[in-house]
Amino acid sequence: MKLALEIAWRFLKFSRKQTALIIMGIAVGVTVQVFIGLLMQGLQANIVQSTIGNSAQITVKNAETGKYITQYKDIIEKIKTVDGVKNVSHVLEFPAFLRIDESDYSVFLRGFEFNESNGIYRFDERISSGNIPSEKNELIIGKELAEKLNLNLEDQISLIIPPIVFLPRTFTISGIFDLGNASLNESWILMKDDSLVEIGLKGNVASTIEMQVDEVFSADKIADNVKKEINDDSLAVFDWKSKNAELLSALNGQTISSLLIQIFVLASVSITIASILAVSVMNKYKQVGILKAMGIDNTKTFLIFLFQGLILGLTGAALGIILGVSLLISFELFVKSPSGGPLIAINYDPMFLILSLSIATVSSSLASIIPSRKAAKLDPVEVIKNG
Amino acid sequence: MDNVVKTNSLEKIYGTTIKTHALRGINLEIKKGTFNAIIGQSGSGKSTLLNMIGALDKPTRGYIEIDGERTDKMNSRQLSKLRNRKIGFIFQFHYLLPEFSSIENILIPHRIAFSKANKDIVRFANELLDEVNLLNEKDKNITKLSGGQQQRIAIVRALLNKPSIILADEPTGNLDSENTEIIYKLMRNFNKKYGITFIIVTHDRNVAQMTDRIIEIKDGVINMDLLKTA
Repeated sequence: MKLALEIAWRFLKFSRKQTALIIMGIAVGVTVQVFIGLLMQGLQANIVQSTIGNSAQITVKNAETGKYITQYKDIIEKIKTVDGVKNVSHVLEFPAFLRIDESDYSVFLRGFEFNESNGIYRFDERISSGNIPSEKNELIIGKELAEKLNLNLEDQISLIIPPIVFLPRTFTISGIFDLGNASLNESWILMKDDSLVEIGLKGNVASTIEMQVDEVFSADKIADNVKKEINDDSLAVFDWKSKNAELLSALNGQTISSLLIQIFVLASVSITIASILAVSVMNKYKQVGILKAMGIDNTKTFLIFLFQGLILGLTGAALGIILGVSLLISFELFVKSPSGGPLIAINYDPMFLILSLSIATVSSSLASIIPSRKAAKLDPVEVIKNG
Repeated sequence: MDNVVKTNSLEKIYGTTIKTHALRGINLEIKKGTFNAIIGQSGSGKSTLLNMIGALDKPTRGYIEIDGERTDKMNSRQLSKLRNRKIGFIFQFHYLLPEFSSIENILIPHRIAFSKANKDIVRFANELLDEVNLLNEKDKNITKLSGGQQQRIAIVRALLNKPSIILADEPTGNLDSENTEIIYKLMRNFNKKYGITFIIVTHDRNVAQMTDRIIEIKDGVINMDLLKTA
């Protein structure tokens, strides 16, 4: 074993230029594979984060439109026991009109228990000016709405909330938020849930119970578990996947195409190794013959060439990972989004890198099996006879 | 004296459509510790015989015994072990590994058997290198040595595992007369000193005449078997 490894190493060392070329070939392949793989993962994570990262991934509503969920606190306690669920909170939602100078603007009013909902919406990070409402007569509006209607902090605005009360009620703008989505910023008005009870809504009801999950792509399975846990036919459970079939198929398509590119790159690397090692067996024809004449057996001969594949694969893959990661770091550094941050935030997943290293090494070793077997089968007398 | 090699009605036929009868029933016994020459013209079958004795080639009919063991009953692994432990080879072209230094080349047969070279074997290798006057060249890459030096290294390599028999196929065929003489004397010396049997295939009658026994192969049969008396 040790001798086979040493001979393999010497063979590679002796043909330095050829060895360097093969290693570069593997490294370039692995660089492309790592670059594309991590970039696609980063892109997907960015898309998922910007689309559903700061919103509810599973929602529970009354099965009958327009009806509330009663005893929501008990239901929330039940939901919290389901594995993989986090940031469970309740919301009150109503269509409303914002009256300014005799004109009414249609808005969507949401009543939160802000501390509870902060886990999903990150209000503390998204208030661009002012504060989260602390009083019952306070509310916050989105950046776009404030710009459109020229509203400022501390301004008083009137709201008509027909499901609760038809007379306009006056509130003070305590803050302006930016949820990173222009349409939400323009249509949502947020206040404490207590404020809605104050103006006439009966207590202990919720329009929706919202939550996030640890594994966003398992939201459908977790939603099933939530439904089982609640065990109430009057309530309907929705998950983001069933509501975003197009996004999901786009993400799946992206995953598959990225995977295919990676597979083809690795396949071409493996074929290259197999063909180069086949040539290498021919080059080492004499050496193999004489080693066999000296009594090296077929297994050790096989190992000499298998180890060459292993050394080439491991070195090339390690170099490829270093190059791939360097390329991604440069990409993050130089390709910026309009906000100044990296266009795509890359997650340098160690498992992905270890997997790339392992796959490239194993496929290089597998690629060397055919030439290794050829070497093992070589008849020493042919070498002796032919000189 | 025991036989180290015995061949029984050895035949070798090459080809399937056009058959070439290289050996036609060779019966030969080689005594332990002797110094033998096999001579014959090109194509007479002498190298074929040597390759079969060395378990590199298989006979079409008949069989060979090395130290009393039939090689036709052995599997590939046993044949490899036999070549490694009991047989040493010296070829016309030295067939050293250019990837290794002189001493490393010499130690390879031992390392094939035991993986690691212990101190005793390294000391023995150094002694042998000293005997062939190449101790100073031991760490040099093999490609840096002359043809005569390379062949001396090949002789030391063949000798290292103290095999029962050393098979040499035209060992001086590629060398000038001065180096031929050196190589011959070395082989003779090792034959006497370590009691190793030598079978040397040569077309050089001068070399052959310096051996104890001359076996001439002609058209695949033994044409002459001349044993010198002391």
